[in-house]
Amino acid sequence: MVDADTIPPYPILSTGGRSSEIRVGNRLTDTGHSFIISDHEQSLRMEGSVIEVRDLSKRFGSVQAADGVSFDAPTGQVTGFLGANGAGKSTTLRMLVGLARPDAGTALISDRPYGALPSPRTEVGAVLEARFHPGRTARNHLRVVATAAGIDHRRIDSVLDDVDLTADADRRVGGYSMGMRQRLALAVALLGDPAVLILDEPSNGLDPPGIAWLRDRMRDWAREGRTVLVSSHVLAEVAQVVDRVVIIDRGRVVREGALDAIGPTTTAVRARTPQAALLADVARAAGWTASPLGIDTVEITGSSPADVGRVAAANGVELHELSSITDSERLEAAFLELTGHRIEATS
Amino acid sequence: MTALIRAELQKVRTTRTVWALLAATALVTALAVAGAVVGGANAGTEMESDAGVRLALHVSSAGAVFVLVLGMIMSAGEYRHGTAVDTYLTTPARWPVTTAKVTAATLIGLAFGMLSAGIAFAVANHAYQLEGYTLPSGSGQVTSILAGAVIYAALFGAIGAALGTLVRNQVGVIVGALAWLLVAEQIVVSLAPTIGKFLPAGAGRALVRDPSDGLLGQTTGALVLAAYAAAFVLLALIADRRRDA
Repeated sequence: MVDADTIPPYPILSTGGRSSEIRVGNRLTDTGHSFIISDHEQSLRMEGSVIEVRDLSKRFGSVQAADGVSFDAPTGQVTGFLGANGAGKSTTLRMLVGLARPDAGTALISDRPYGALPSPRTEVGAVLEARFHPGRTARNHLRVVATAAGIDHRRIDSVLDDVDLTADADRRVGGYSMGMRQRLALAVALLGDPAVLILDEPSNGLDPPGIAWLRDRMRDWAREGRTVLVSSHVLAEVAQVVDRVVIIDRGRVVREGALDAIGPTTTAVRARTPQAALLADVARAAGWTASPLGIDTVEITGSSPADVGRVAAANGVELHELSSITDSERLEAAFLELTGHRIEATS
Repeated sequence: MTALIRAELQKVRTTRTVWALLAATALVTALAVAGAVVGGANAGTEMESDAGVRLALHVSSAGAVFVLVLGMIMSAGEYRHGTAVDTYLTTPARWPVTTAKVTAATLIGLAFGMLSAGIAFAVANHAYQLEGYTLPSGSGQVTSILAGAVIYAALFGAIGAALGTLVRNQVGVIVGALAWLLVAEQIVVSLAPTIGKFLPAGAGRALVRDPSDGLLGQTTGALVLAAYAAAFVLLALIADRRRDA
């Protein structure tokens, strides 16, 4: 859907001087050496955190929507901002882009508050509500933004193409599906070719191919050296793409860090077998922790799928499925552990 | 600022609302002027006199209420449809947006007012002939009333945009403003005419030389209405400074 030349190669960012090798190198998914990552992460946090949120608080009546929220979103990474509905994600993002005034705290993008950016649309692209005038066409909405922001109107065709809305660009938005509105909102965010993308629940209303497409785009943006901050209450949507996560609950950040550092550190394996009790026994005998999950499933920690399979075979245990616990499951477990509520694992 | 004003005009141009309101303005102006001329002539008014011309043409501002509505939609409509988010993401400071809206609404009011004045003139001319009179179009009376109608519409545009910024509930602000103009202010006028003539609708009527008794002079009316516009704009700028979008 998107080829390499629809977005021009992104120039070196204004924060300056970072080479593309480092940008590639700091992507956690590209390397398995966590000590290297944390080194990079240290340096990023000191010099390359484009988004810096510090102690943001905001109260609406009796609800403390944000309560001292602090986190960073470093350059060239996708930072997932996770929390249940009502946890304070949108409030925080609205304060970050100057739509809401914090009671306390600061939110800086490239060392300035959003309101002090000389040309916000060309520095930050934000998708917040995806709401439009129903009687206005997509192209005209983009024209209005381009006019006000002083962006070349030739960009309009390019971003419409980018989000695959060219064919519908001259229809009134009132007839759009939720997914089309989300894609139009992304087109608006991309209009100024910004180095920072802030997306609040961008996959709301997108169909599965749309979600996959968005995931690829976020990965591309980060690879191009852009900073991506994406909020979600649906872990599965972001677990595959985020480098870092910030988990917010009841207005407070309860965890922040690299994806690998979140959640149980021990590796876990899930096995489905008609002989669950026997498998649990042999696993314990091998020195692992085994806990039955339902009638035919055992979760084994401290091992790997290969080791569990070998032990099962040696003891004549029939296995129907053997899998390691995925990132999104680990993330979900971490989320549950941290907040005590459930976050949707799938949409 | 020019870019923001152009963007505001573009917003108005790209929905159908403005065309509906423009059509309503044209229709109401034509009907009001035709009705005033025919009614005045039937009642035996000397239509070529100053009183007759005022009776015929003061209703050329009848459509200004639609400009007021458009101004309120330009501001409050952004919250109704959620487009305020994109507006303030583009322009984080509030005052340039409010200023651009007020300016754009004033320009649109000027355009609506000029259309109304043109229609009022054409309809009055024709209706005068039908009734056996000649509209004294060379006299300053006609020009001053029609100029008043143009200023009236321009100021109503500005007031609408300011009110829509102050009260973001689109339906609420439109209903409230119309209820004030058409009902509440008339009650005040009947109870306390000396205050009533300084109220917005009264000042507007003076501006188009409404033949009723007890109104301000035309120039004073213009200044009073302009003062209201300035006050509402100032209030809107102050009120919006610290509000969340």
